[in-house]
Amino acid sequence: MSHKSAIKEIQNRVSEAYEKHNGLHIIGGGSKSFYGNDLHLDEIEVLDLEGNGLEGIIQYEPGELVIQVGAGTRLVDVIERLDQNDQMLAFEAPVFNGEATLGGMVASGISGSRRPYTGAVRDYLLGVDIVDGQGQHLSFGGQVMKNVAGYDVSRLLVGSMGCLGVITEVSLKVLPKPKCESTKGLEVSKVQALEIMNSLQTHYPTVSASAYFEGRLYVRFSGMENSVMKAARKFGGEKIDNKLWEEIDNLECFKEDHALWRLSIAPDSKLFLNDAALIDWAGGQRWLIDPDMNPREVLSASGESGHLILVRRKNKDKSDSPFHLPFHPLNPILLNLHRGLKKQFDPRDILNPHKMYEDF
Amino acid sequence: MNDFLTCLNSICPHIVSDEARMKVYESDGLTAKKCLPRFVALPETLDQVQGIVKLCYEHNIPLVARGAGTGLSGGAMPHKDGVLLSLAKFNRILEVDENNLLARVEPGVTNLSISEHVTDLGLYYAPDPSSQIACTIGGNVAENSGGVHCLKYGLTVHNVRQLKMILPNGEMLTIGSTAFDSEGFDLLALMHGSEGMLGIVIEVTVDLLPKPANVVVVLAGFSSIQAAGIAVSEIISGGLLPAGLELMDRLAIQAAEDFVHAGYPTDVEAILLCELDGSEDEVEEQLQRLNEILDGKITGDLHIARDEAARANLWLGRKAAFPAVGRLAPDYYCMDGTIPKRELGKVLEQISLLSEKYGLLVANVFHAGDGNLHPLILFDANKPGELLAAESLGAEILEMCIERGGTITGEHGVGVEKIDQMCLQFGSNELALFHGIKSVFDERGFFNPGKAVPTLHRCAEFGAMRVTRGKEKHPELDRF
Ligand SMILES: Cc1cc2nc3c(=O)[nH]c(=O)nc-3n(C[C@H](O)[C@H](O)[C@H](O)COP(=O)(O)OP(=O)(O)OC[C@H]3O[C@@H](n4cnc5c(N)ncnc54)[C@H](O)[C@@H]3O)c2cc1C
Repeated sequence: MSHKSAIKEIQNRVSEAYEKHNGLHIIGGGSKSFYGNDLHLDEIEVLDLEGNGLEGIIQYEPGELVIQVGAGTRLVDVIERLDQNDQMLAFEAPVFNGEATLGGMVASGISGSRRPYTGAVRDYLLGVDIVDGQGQHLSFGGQVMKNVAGYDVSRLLVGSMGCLGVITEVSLKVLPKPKCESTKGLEVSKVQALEIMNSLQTHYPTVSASAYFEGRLYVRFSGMENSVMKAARKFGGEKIDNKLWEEIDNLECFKEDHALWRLSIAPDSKLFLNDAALIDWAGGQRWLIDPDMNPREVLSASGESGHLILVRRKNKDKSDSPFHLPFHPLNPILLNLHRGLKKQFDPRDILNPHKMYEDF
Repeated sequence: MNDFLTCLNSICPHIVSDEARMKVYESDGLTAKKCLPRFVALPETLDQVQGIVKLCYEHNIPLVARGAGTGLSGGAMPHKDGVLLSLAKFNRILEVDENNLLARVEPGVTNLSISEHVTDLGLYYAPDPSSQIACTIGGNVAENSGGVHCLKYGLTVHNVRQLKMILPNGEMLTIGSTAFDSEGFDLLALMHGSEGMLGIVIEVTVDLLPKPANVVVVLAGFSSIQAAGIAVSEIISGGLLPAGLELMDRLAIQAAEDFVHAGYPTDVEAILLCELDGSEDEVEEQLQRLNEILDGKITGDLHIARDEAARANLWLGRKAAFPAVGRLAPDYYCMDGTIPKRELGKVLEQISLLSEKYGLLVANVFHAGDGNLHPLILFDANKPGELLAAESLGAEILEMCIERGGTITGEHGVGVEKIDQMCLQFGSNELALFHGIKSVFDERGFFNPGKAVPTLHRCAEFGAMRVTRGKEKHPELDRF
């Protein structure tokens, strides 16, 4: 099916659902089905975007540093194509067994190891096309790097979990791939690791990833060859395979049958320092496995700013207990704005109902 | 209104209501559009801002926020029945957090003063609009401003972690956090470039970066502006990500040279200024690569500036380019559109044709690495019809940017200036959604009314005058 008729079909499906007040569960590659609230599948229809014509690279010229792709395109395919031209997506989103699609990548907004140093998915998003909750096909942003015409709806969609629209097309800024990368591992205590992580950027301008787990601090340097080699020598420790970062980004270092929490916090915070199974993002991202109390209560008692996502639940856990809500609760003012925005994009609450929050 | 003024005075001691003193606020950097407000308020405390916002909300009085008024699209132009809210007195840097590389500042702090404040710590704030000595961080957020270094270091939206803002009902809301992301939709992104339409920014937490250890600036001359355009794409596809990559055409070079004597070659059609930064090795390796890429394509030698004085000298011509060009005619009009870089050659050629058509000189000085054009249209407002001609020429340039797959504004915003061109860039459904987003934050529509997003009615009127690319953009609307 052509891209155009694929969009038409999605519009038809959404319009029909709108008429009938039916919920739609949007699925891209299905790679992140564990993420977010369970949908009550008996009550809603599935809108499966897999293999229905939304895949393919629409435009890519390396000199532009921009790639425009159908939302059904697999992330691995985009990465490969960029790789042929020594370019990359600088936020290192997880590919999850090769199943992740660009639409899902934007909707979930999950970024990888390079995040603290080069930015997140939202930082590289230049434009999106969506089908909104009434079946209208809308286009925001574009294929240029600077664009302040109209509100930044493109970035608003990052991390909105399909609640605001079915993403049909995505344009992203890409970057040249570093000529050389090197990862080192160093045995240090947790407290030392955090201190080092917090000051890495100042002492090592080529740092491009940092993580601590099982007693070791791992750091990656990226850039031109000589500077990377020098930085790696100065840092010391043992040489590690660069593949490590893919494993971390794809959550391969965590077993599936545990509850997995992600804490996003100021990098120098001491919160959950001891309990975290893995600390990365210069200290700003911490992973907790099977915590025995609600970590949100700990965060809120600390008064620090940050948020927690229950990334993966234990099978038996029910999502309707407050302990098991995947996304961090919103304060009343924020919730109000979210409800309002949802109404504008999806007036009948039919797109991924309750996937993100119980309220919509 | 007298009641209103009494209330206003009781909330905030600094209210200006006489015309003479309000005159300085009648426009922003786009001086062709001006209007006196009813009152100007210069609050000093958060309570005062909240009080003023609530009062305007209750009385349904338009409220326009203003930073330094350097905006170039009329975003801070007052409303004739409204209050102009200046944030000039909120000019303190509240906190520098070295561990997390953050600075928490008030909205009226100037862009440059943040970098100056942290320079002894070896840090800086990356986005650097040319207006950085004057423009405020609140204005930068509202316009999502960029600068010479945003190809590598991003725009304002990429360098702000948290905002505190006052909503139209007077409530205060914090969005974003000191972490790398936060819960819910990305409202932080939505606020950037929202032109004072959704909330009053009252505090900004920005990212700080360690200053690069080494910086070099390279100047290359070209025999045609097309050749310079092609070199831009080749530098980037060749694997380099310069900290800055700026292009100036002959007219701009000559004007800058005459004005500041930066030592630019005046026998070329265009120059590129390319800044490379990083560790010493990093810079040398990039320089070598740049040499390979440009080999045989440039006119004359590469000028390489390594020490601070030499670099500053090369940048001087670029930074002074606007005022330098401004000396060539009594007035100039600065446009701001972005295009895909592959279109650079064609678009610049079109611009020179348009320049002939209107009989007005156009100089080009711009952020080539981002494809962000700044054609400077020279005119004399005292000559009958020239202002209008300059505006029409500008409008044609913007329309060409859209046709070439670009946008009507890269960094200066829509304001009042480009409101009609918004009708060309977006369809009715997108515009309706923009109005919908506005209503979620500001149901009464009293924050900066009439700016940034045209009404569908206005687009219908505008569309009646022209039909773009053979098809009507808003066919469902009645024509007037
Ligand atoms: C010589 C010159 C060079 C320039 N160079 C550049 C450049 O390189 N890059 C670039 O991007 N821009 C540039 N500009 C444009 C301008 O400086 C920027 O748009 C700047 O961000 C405006 O800041 P300001 O404080 O002057 O804002 P104002 O002009 O006062 O206001 C701009 C908009 O922001 C809103 N606003 C201001 N403060 C707040 C607040 N606290 N809360 C909510 N809304 C607010 C206003 O309502 C208005 O809509 C240049 C301008 C000039 C005159």
